[in-house]
Amino acid sequence: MTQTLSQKFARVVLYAFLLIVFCGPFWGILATAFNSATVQPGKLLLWPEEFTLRHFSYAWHEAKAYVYLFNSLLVALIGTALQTLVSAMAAYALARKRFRGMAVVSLAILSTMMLPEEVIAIPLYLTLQAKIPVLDVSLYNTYFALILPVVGWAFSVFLLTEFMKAVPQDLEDAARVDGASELQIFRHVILPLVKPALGTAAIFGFLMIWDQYLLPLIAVDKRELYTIPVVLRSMRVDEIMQSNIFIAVTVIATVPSVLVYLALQRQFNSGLTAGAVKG
Amino acid sequence: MQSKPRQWQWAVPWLFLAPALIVFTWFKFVPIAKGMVMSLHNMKFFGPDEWVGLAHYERAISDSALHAAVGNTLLYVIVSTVVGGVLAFCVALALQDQARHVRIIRTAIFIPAVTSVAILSEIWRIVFYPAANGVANSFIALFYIPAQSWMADPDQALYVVILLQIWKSIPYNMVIFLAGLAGINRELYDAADVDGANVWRKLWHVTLPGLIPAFSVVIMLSFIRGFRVFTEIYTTTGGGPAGRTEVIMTVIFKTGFERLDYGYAAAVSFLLVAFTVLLTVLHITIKNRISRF
Amino acid sequence: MGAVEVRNIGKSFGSIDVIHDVSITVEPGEFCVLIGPSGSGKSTILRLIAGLEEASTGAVHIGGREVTQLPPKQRDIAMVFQTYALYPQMTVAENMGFALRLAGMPKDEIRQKVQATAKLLELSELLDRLPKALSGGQRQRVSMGRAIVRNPSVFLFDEPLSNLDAKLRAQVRGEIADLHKRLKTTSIYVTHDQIEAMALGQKIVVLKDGRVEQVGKPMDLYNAPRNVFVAGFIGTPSINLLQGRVCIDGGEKTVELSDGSGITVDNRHAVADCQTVVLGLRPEHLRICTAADSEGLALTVTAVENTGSDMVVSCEKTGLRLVAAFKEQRELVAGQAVRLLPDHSKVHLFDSASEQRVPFDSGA
Repeated sequence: MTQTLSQKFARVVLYAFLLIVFCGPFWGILATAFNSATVQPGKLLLWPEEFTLRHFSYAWHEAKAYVYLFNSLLVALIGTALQTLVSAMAAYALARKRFRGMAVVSLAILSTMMLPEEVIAIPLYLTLQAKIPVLDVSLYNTYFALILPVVGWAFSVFLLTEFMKAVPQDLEDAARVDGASELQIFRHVILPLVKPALGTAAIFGFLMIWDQYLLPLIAVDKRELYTIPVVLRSMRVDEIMQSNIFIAVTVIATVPSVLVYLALQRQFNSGLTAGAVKG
Repeated sequence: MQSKPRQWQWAVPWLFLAPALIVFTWFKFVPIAKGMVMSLHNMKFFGPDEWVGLAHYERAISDSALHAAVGNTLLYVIVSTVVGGVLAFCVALALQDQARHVRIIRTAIFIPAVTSVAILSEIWRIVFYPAANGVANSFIALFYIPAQSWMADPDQALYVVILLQIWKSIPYNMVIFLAGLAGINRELYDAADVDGANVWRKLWHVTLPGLIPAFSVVIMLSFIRGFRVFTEIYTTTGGGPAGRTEVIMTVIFKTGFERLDYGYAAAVSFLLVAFTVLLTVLHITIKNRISRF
Repeated sequence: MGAVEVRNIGKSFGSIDVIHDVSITVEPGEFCVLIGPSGSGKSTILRLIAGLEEASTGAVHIGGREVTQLPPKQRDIAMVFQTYALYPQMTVAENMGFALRLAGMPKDEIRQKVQATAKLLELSELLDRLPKALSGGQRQRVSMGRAIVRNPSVFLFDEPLSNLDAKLRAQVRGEIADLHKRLKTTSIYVTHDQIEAMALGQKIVVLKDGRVEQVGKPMDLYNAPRNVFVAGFIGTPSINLLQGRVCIDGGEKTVELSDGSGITVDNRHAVADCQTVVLGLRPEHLRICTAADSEGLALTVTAVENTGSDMVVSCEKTGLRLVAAFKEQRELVAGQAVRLLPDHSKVHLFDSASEQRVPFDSGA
């Protein structure tokens, strides 16, 4: 489709506009964070006038960004691993086995998709505060409180169930005849064949957990346990926090999710549309 | 690797389900049940909880602060859905091309969609900083428009936050529209060309009808997410200024965690749940009716 | 080496009975074929023997042990699947060694056994390939290799050749026959293809609707089918089945066909005068004469199939359709008038009502 010069020009303008609108702010915070002189709050630069890494260093060490980044990473990585494993096991039961009560379990898990987590915030808070019977400790202000509640995610369960259903029965039969136990069938036959789905579930799970805001808010109140999204708000009111430093923290906070996205975007995109258009 | 004797085979599915069931029960089902119970009580710290039946629900119906929040939420949902949906659709149309440079642009503009809301809020606060040197104010100064207070202005605040929602949802909805556009039969366009249709007619008669499922998904997701909005408000305006950006979830949160009125907060939560369920059911029913054409 | 015995096996899915009271005995080292049309239950019976399905009633014995309650891995069996069921992410060697690995055999021993079996099946060069890089025939051989390497008491084959094209089918069929001669393992083979059954089976079990219709050696089934169904199922092209009525005139027994012509049958058949029967004549037992003889049935040719090695001629007359098959090349065209001469000694008679074979008079 050949285009006239004016059409081409219009396209270029459009693309530039879109890039400025959606990427501009990110470019701005990146440039400002590298800028030596302190900027007034609310101002973003297009290019650092004087290049420096000072602010990042300060953000990392003095402002303790590394602590919060560590928390976020720990919670997201362990959370994703547990979530994917737990979901895969549940999916195995739902996809490959027939048993009484299957429909009820399915429905129960499905209903949590409709239930916004925000709505159970208050009771969840009380649950986390409550002491566990035998151990007589509460989960509050522990990493458990940050991780365990997100391990159960219906989206992950159903995604994996769909893919596991597609594995041919013959392979399972062959494995059974070969002498495999249930766990071995799960590990050697089913899991390898749903690798793409595991990857998709893990990526989406990671981003979902990384983004959590309400949960960390109600799960801990000790600052050293805060995850990055939560700590930003309290850093805002720190007088020590110059705007550049704060922006540097923001940049540090943005990096992981953008990296994950860029590295895995093909899988991310196919996962998105697969779920979405099916309606 | 002992295989189970036949009689224990029934336990296998349940063993695989066990971890998931434990987590779901402990952190979702039990809190739901607890919440329901709480909504019927007045939760006190000293002494037992007092049964009040449906009193909280009645209170919710006449609570004017809640009404205001519901109004804000409705505005938030409708404006962000409509404007966001239309804009996302336009962006999808513009970026349909499979050429490499277009794909790069699509990847780039997706960044707001994968960034945490809390971070986007900080960015938004910088861009819409109330003083004259803020990014937005510097921009409109080029057109000789005076600096605005944006999120510090009671009348503007909600719209600025709605803009945030639109901004971050456009890339996400664009992907859904792109998938929908890819699914439209190319021959329909050819047939329309032969029939003499111009660009607008093709849009109206071929593109839009083919995108009904995509629109349906976008609208439903946007509505449901919109009613539950919390983080976007809490991290930008916190509900202010003067309560002008309070939404249902921020009211629930503050009632529970600042005023410690757990019972009432739980009741309002369940009203929100019921409403969300109703919306979903409504959406599915409408979708089924329409697809019968 | 084990014998397999299936005693009064029954299987129901919910309220639907799929297998009714089936009993089959397979001698040690025997190659037994289960054959029948779709839905006859042959695959189900195989799966019951394997332990992949649980029997509703009855018992399964393998090698003298009762295995009815045991899971597949404790039954000392190996199975070759129709779809090969090769683990896609494992190499040929890993596929073949999987069961041994699960059993905890040391790696060296596994490698040894896999290599020996690979040599047997000419798979040695393919050991490091993934299933997707193999042809259909190669995959099938890997599937068999996986079974062989375990050295079980019984091999179970579930329509292994169905997914192969005709030429390959004949070739692999030969390979399976060779393997059985070499390994002499008891084998139970399910197929719907009666050519495979006749070629491979030492004992054939014909199944219909979950019941055993007849058990016997291939030639027994061919020469003495017990009922109309077995007669029609075994033999290609299918046997000609004609309705008729018995006429006994003095010492001679004739069957009168619907067009009035009569076919003399062996006196020893235990039939009564005027009994309605179904007369079975295999196409290969009909001779074609073009000369206007007085003998034989007069018909018109409707279609001629000439494959080079065989000729199959379909003929018709009002109310009568017959197919004849022979080896010699003849000049025959549609519309030609011919006479078909039956071989009287090869006529099969079945009672119309019961569809069962009419026996010879005892003491005849």
